[in-house]
Parts: sequence; C-alpha cells; structure tokens
Amino acid sequence: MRIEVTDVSLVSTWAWDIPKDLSKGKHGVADQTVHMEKWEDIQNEDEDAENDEEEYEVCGICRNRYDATCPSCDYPGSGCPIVLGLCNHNFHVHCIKQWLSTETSKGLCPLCRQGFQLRPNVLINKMHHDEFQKLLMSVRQHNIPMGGGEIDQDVMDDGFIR
Amino acid sequence: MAALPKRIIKETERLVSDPVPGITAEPHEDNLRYFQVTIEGPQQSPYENGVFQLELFLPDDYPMEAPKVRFLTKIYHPNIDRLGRICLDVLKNNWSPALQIRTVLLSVQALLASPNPNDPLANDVAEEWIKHEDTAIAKAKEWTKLYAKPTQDEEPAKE
Repeated sequence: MRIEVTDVSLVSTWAWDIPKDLSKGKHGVADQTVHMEKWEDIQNEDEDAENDEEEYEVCGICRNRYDATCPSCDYPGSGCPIVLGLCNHNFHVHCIKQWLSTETSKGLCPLCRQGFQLRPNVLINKMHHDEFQKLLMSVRQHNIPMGGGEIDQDVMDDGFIR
Repeated sequence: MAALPKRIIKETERLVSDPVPGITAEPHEDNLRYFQVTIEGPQQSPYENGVFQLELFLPDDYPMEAPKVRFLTKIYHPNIDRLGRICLDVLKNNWSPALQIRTVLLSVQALLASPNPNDPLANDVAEEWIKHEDTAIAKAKEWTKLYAKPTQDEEPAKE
C-alpha cells in the first residue's frame, strides 16, 4: 500500500517549566523530574482547578497559575509571559506591570517589599523587557524624593543619573 | 458591572470553606464585592468576649488597591475613630496585592489585641490611653459589653 501525505498540521501544547520552590534554589537535578511531574499533572487535572493554590505555584498577585489566564488576558498565555524577579518572586507580566504602575507600589515586590528588579539573564521577550525597564525607571524616578538612598543607588547602577 | 475576578471568587469560597477562627466574612447577595464581617475581640484584650460588626468593600481595582474596611460596631480604640475608620498601614500605603481579605481581617484583629496610641486616629482616645491607661482600658471593656454583643439577630449598633 502506498499513501501520499498531502497536508501536515502540527499540534503542540506547552507549559511554563517552573521549579516548585524557586526560593530554595532546587535547580539542577530536581528540575527535570519536577518538569515531568508537572506535565502529567497539568494534563490530568486541567479541569480540577480548585486546588490550584496548594498544588501549583501561582502568581502572587492574581493567584492564577502561571500558565493559566491572568485577569487581563483574553486566552491562556496571550502575550503574558512570566516575569522573574531578582528576589525570586515571579508574576504574570500583566499583573506586575499593573501593580508597579500604582502609586502605592513604590516600585516594590508585592511579596517581599524589596525594590522589584528583573532577574538578569532570564529575559522575557525583548519588547516586554524594554517596556518593563521603562516602567521600573519611571517608578523609581517618581520615588526619589520619598525614597531612601537605596533607590538612588539603583538608579545610579542603571546609568540613569550620573 | 464587570464580571467578578476569579481571585475574588476563590477568596470568597475559601473564607466560607476554611474560615479564620474568630472571623466571619459573608458577601452581600446583591453585591459580591461587599462583605459583612464579624471579628471576635481577642482574648486578654479589652475587647474580649465582644463580637464586632464590620463592613468590607473590594474596590474595582482590587487587588491593586486595598479593600475598604470599617467598623460598624462602636468601639473605644485609639486607632479607630467615631465613624469606624481604621488606621492600619496595610489598608493604606503598605497595601500589597499579595495580601488578601483574610490577611487584612487578621491584621484588624491583631490591631484590637495591640492598640497603638502613638499613631492615633481617635486623638481623644489615644490621649486618654497614654495618660490614664487603666481608665482607657476600663472604658474599652465597658463599650465592648455595651455595644459588641454577640447576638446578631437585631441590627448592629451603628455609630
């Protein structure tokens, strides 16, 4: 028998590969297994979203899973990459941007109240990254009169004021 | 009105299924952003054995903006004024979207356990609290007995 392939449609699914406990630095060896477990869980328990908070790492702001729809998204992952903070706290880009745009935020991480900074070398896509830096910049500028020396120092480090 | 964000739905469900000891919070059936709250006075505080009624409202920008919380029951406390407004950092400039309804209410309960007359909202109460602590505490106890009755059947004492 002979068949002819006339058309191929690729179907793919994806998930963020997030170690369960970033703060304790369980990288390396554990990573792969965590990934595998998570992958199965995601496939099996898609409907069972009730226990999200116990089972998975969720965005500290909207409390949805990183690979689920954040409140500002139209569909899962729509231009909504995860943002990795220098302080090891991670958020949907939409959520953290919305927070940092408020005056109350003072540019601080919602979870540890340190000045929020992107983790270097773990880039979200270029456009988001640039936009994000701009936002952080304006937040800091805004806070210089109120903030302490620490913020000034950050600005210096970024080469913003010399 | 826009649809209720999933986070608010989840928080509400958990408040009901896994309530914080000494605290109840029920959404109003007409407005799911408006909660009727009761907080039991902490043990060994002047508010012990009292049950205080509060209202909590989640603004449109929640969780980017803090919930609005107010005492409905009359209370003698240096950080709570006659209108029931509360002076608490996490409700104002120390709000963080990582906080939730339950953590905010826990903070309010903690404020009852440790009044802070050095950062007053009700100035007369704070002054009394600093100058004659015993009298102030006695008055707080008296008001608790008078106004913060555990019976919830009749309307709570407003203002």
